[in-house]
Amino acid sequence: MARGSLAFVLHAHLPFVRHPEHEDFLEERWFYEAVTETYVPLLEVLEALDRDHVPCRLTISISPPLLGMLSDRLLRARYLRHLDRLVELAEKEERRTRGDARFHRVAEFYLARFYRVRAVFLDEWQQDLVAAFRTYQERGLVDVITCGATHGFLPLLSVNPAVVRAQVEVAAAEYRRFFGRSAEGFWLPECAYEPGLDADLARAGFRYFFVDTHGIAHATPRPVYGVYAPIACESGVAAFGRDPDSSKQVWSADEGYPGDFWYRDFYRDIGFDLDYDYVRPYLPPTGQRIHTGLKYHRITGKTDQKEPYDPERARSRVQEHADHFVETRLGQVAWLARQMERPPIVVCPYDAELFGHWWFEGPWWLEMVFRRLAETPDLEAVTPGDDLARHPTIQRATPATSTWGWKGYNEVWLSGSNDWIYRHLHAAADRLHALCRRYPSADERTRRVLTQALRELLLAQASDWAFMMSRDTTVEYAVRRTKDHLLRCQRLCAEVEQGSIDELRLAALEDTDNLFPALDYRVLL
Amino acid sequence: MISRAVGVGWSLVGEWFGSACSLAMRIRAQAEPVVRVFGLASPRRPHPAARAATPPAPRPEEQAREAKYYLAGERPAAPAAQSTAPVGLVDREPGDLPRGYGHDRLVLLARDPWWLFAYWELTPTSRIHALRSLGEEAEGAVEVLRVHDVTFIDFTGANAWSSFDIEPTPGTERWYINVWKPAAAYCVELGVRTPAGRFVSILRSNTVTTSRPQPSPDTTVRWVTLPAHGLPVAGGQSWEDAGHPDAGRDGRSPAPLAGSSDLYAPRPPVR
Repeated sequence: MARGSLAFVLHAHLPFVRHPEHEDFLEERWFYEAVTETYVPLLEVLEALDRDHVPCRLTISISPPLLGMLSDRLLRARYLRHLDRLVELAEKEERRTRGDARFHRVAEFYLARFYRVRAVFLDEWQQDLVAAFRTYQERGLVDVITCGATHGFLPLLSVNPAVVRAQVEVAAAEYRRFFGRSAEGFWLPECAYEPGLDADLARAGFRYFFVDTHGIAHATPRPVYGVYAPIACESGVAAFGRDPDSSKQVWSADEGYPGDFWYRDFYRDIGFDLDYDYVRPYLPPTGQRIHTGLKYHRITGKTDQKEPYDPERARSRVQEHADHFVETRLGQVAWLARQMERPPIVVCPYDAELFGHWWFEGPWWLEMVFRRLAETPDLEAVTPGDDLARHPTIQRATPATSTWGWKGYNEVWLSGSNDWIYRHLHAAADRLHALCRRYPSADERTRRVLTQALRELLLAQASDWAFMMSRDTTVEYAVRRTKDHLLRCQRLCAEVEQGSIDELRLAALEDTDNLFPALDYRVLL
Repeated sequence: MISRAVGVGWSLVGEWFGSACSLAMRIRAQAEPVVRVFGLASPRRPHPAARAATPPAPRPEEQAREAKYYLAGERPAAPAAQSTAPVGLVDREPGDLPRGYGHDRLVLLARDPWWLFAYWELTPTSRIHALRSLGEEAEGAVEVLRVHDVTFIDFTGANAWSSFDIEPTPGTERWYINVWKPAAAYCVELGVRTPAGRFVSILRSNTVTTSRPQPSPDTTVRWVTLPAHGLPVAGGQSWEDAGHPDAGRDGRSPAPLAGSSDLYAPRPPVR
């Protein structure tokens, strides 16, 4: 029997970005890039492990907006168009660099990579990546869990408890719609927990969630096993805490793996490096230079003189890092196991988009970690559900209010740059909630309006907007999305209150903001 | 056995986490804004709200999270907010959000263990009503936020453990409040105070509880067994406490660690 276990948890999320009103919309590229660089590569990892019969237990939370985007016809078609252009650019690059000993190999590498992504997306899964994850779930390699309906930052929304419940229950229902069963685990958006949230999760049937390290370390009463065993909240839902050591190994500015000098440099991209007229056809209509995804340099060191990227050399570093990670975890669980009366569980949660998008070699590393774990009997990969099934007796304690953001609390989402949103988010929630209670069994037309108003409210609640404002990244877009959804919600409420419903506009809104097709406003009651 | 387990847990989490980390977080979270804004620390000095600070250099983790949204520089200036969408679709919404909603409201949010954030809307009618109730004393009365420590009590308006006043900048409708005592419950009232010290409350906020930035002094150990499938449904069959095979003899550890919290040392209410 293993001395300890390791739970890898990847949180996959993007805000709902879909703009049918524009032929080419810059921010939709967030989604295209994540598909090419993270979601497809993760599926390739699962495929390789499955093919080689390597034991794999990986937990992936796929947020409801991401499920919506992955299954959306328009976005799929646009993604294919984007990928075709990427392939075209890579083909041009392969030709252009012939005779260039420094860069031809890496250009060939990208061309092969994009052909492969296209084959996985189109031929293997017929554009349905949700079906792909569902298949690997059924084959026992992954456990897919869910997250807040639109990734709302729940502690800052809880002045209206009904909308928090809606964030939880809509997510649970969406998961059932896509996976045909209930999710066991819930990824709290931003790991933002406050006592009482667990009761909402319990009501919706969830068994566990995650908090950052200090959420467990500062729990009441003090957990005897620290973050190396889950605790049970009053509601009976279990909380797992993030292991600080394995987190540091990936994130440390000095020792973190993604900063290795042989790994691909994120910032150097041919979209910025090559002649403008040459890359112009692959830039957005506005003509601004952007990341194309073809990045030819390695990190090299603390220098601007970057060397060409060598995928083979990077792969060998990945092997070393995977070995190092497993060895370190082995040492960690050996020590922990001596101190504990149950096998420790080391929980390693990461943003899924770290793997592939930011840390290009991340998916390879993940695959090699699982292969190495398969040869390591003392350490076993598990899901939190597996752990609860084996060790159902756990300590009762209430986690401390906490998040996984900068400084560990709410400041990223509540600061001078973004605090203005809460006045409006709360006002819209209260108005819509009161209206829903006034019409508990509305006629079809009113039902559609109230449901669309709820859709708009949920979209405005996404924590991404506050994050972007706080980080000074695409602020204008974040402000625009917050305001647009709130204005739509308020105007729809006004239509119901005044009894003057604009059906044409309602239909247009339903087509534009089409997330959660099965939504019903009565979830707010 | 229990005390051993507690000792183990303490060492697992690490002394460094309990002391150094919480101290570091405390220093960062409370000293930084104060130092940045005032150049010195002052416990109850008002903190100007709504100041957009330059975001700090991100940790690698934040940088990677942020990278999901990297495409280029900032988006070029958007065209005026008018719809260019094809028929049947919606583009930007015209207009802007209102400054207020015409309802009295005071909302309190906890930012971290040491800072609260309040926003409010006070209708002219309510303000005038309050000032009228002061009669002649209204002359020179100022609008104040009265912050109450209501830890473990049902606040009636007069039974807080302690209270202090903040005078927000006239015209502002949001404020950050430095509370200096974590793991406590707070409620705020917005009202007017006369030069003689008479306070008339106009709005009362919700109550928030700040987080505990250090390990709990409560070392009670209680084991429970979760059901194998599904969760106890609210109001349905409950799940039961269970003795841990190795640990559950007395279910309690010896005396709590010293110096951990002043939560259990209530002070008399301040009138």
